[in-house]
Amino acid sequence: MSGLDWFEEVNHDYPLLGIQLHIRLGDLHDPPDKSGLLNTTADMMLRGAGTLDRAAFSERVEALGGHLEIALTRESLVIDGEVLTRLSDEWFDLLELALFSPVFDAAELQRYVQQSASALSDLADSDEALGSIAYHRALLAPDPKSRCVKGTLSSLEQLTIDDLKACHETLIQRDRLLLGVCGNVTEGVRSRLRKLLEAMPQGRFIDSAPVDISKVDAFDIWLVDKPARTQCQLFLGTLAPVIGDMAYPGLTIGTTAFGGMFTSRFSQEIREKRGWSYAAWAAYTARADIGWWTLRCFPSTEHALRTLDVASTMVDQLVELGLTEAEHAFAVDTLVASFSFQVQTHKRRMEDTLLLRLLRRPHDAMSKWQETLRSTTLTTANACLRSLAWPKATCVMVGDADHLQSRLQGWSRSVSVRCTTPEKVLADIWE
Amino acid sequence: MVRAFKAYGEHITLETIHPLGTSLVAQARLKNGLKVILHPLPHKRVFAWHTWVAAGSRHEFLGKTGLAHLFEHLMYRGTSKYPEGEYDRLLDRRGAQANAATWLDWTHYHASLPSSKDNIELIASLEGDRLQHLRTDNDVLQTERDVVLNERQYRVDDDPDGALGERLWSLALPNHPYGSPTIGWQEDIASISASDCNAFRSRWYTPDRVTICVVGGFDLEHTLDTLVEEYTSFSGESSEPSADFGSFTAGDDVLDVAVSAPRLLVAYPSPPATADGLLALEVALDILFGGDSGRIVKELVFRSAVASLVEGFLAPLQLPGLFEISVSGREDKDPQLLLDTLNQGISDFLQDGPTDTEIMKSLRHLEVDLYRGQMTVDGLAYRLGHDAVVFGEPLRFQSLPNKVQAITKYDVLEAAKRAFNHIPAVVKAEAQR
Repeated sequence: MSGLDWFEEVNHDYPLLGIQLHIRLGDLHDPPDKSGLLNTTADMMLRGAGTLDRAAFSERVEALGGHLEIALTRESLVIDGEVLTRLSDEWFDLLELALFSPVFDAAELQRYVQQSASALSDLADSDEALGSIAYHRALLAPDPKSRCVKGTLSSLEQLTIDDLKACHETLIQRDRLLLGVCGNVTEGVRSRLRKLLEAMPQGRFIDSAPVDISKVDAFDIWLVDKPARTQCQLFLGTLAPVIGDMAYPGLTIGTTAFGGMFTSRFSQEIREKRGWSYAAWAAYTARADIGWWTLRCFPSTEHALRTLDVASTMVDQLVELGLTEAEHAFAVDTLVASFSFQVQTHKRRMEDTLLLRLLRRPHDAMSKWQETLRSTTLTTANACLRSLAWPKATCVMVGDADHLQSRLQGWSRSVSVRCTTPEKVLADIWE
Repeated sequence: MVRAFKAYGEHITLETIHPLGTSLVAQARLKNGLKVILHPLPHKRVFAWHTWVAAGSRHEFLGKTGLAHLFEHLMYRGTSKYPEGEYDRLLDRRGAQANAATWLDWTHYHASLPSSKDNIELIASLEGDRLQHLRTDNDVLQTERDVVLNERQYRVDDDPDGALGERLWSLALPNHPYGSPTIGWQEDIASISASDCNAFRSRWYTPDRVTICVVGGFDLEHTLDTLVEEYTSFSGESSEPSADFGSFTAGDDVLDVAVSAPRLLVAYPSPPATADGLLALEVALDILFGGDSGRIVKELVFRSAVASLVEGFLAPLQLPGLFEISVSGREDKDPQLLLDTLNQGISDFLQDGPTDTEIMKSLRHLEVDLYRGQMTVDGLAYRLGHDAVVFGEPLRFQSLPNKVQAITKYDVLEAAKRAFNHIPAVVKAEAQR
């Protein structure tokens, strides 16, 4: 893809067209006093464009039966769409309006801010969502992209129409673009794609540099207080290699063996043997500039500390002793076999291809993935597990802080236990 | 396809064959009454094997709510042939995606695997074996009960929306099998014994209540052979549950849960899945609640701006049940204001009726959903199996576009009038911060 090109996964089984357009962020991120700017700009692009106000625009999109959505990820602003091919011309008209002629109306921005305030407030009611925000912020603290993309109530209120227009101008540039189409791709569709790309100003893209995460150096616990909760949402994790690192395949195998399946060590100990948590799993998230490794479960308040203790000891053992030969072979078999699902649909193949390019991986990384896994030995995988920053770790527990704190008193591993409130988490206040 | 079935005529009766896409869908029945739906797609690298049991939480015994769901958990705890953990070990190693779900009318076990004869034989053996020879002793039960109690904390006790939903259904359907939560009341879950589980299995896990749906890359003759091998010995016969249950009841309640913004849940009675007019009601609800351009969404979220989120939810159920509307209000709004604004929106719709554009929008939504649902073997197997169990018509979705096309504005308005011509059940929660 050269900037005037796109990736195709053609399939004519159904008269449905899928499009995914990534606007790469590179080194762009929200300024500290304007957190939520990128997300607001993205959302406002669909809240009125050309001569259509928000209501008319959404009426037109939804009348086509498909969807046109914008979401912000760590690396890109993703425009995702699906439409019946016979209606794609009208859909492209709307996409072009959103990209090139958003209205950025002041009254609509005010409405957006009010609605976002409600959405942020609703987040406080979901312990899981709240815990996820707190965990990523606490673990990846020095990284500006670890802030909640939705911003905070006070930062949103500071945003002006000029901020949005400037942000939009920076974003809509051809050099930032990664484009894929899938499904019932016709010549008419290709012609519209060419037109769309030609209309984009050239721009200049600067990629992001690796994140300095050296400040993360202790076993810290944050308690997010939810009085009277019977359960604790537990997040425990540490920093890990980025996706381009040699350790990526080995760590993927290690994570799968440790907590990626029902039969994995972690699930067996916490769920199957003890019945402490309905779900217990490990996840390795590796991006181009940062990586982290997480354990998740939700024990009752009563079992929270024991769960944390067992989990921490298990990670100690994993890092020190590694996987067994049988675990390694099992995880490799699982990952190799499950690859069939990764390439099952044309949409999934398109999305994965775009993601690889977004993360600066070689174009054949996907087709060679099974081979890479097969060639990663037990010794290599175990060496990769030692690349985790453990025992430097961050733990976030959302639950009844009174009960949790009394149980954590005197726990040998913790360097500090700090309490906070949902309101402070959502206001991005960490003190 | 017919020839393949003929070879197994002694064990399986082919009932119908219909075209679907570039292949065929066969419906057949084993001698023991077990239903089979097969949709081979030879070019696929994976296949889905779904087992539907027409036994959900409405089939539970008095005072034993949560039994159907706990039993679903126990189905993963082993048999003498495949001891505890073996089911997951064998499937995990082959890269399978497997899980289960229990709801009011059914329990659904689903697994998808890379295509191979070995994998067909394995999944048939695992599923056939546990349907017939599950081990349910007290030790296994105790651990799984703790897991389910933890799941209840997660989904209901510590989740305001889960708690509100549970209250709505019990308020609106007090003497009705849908009125009890599928996950069960906490004290009921704690009291379930191994003998309750065995009784539940004997009563409802019988071949006449099981539908197996296989979709994707598999060899038809080999799969028929395997089905005969693994399921012919499955025996038993169920009886229909009592048809004596209460009807929808209006009422209101205020729930004391910690929410940062007011919540409102409203329920109206819904017809059973097979009733005339259900489709027209689905179209009406899509017009009212579908997307940002839904009538009620436009009014509550954007014009009067009293709410941040409004959703309508109607699921096809075998018995008369309910459909629900949920509203998340703005922080400073009173739940009563949310209700008044909602009622005004409904009243306006009943007066004006739908427009041609709205009907067309709904039809297109349905068309897109229809294609989207068929793109994975898992999605297709879900659709065929679900519609077989709930509607008695696995290929119902194929005829939907024509049926919806035939729906008029008058049909939609009449369906909405019938649906909203009741005093609803209402549950509110006030903002506590």
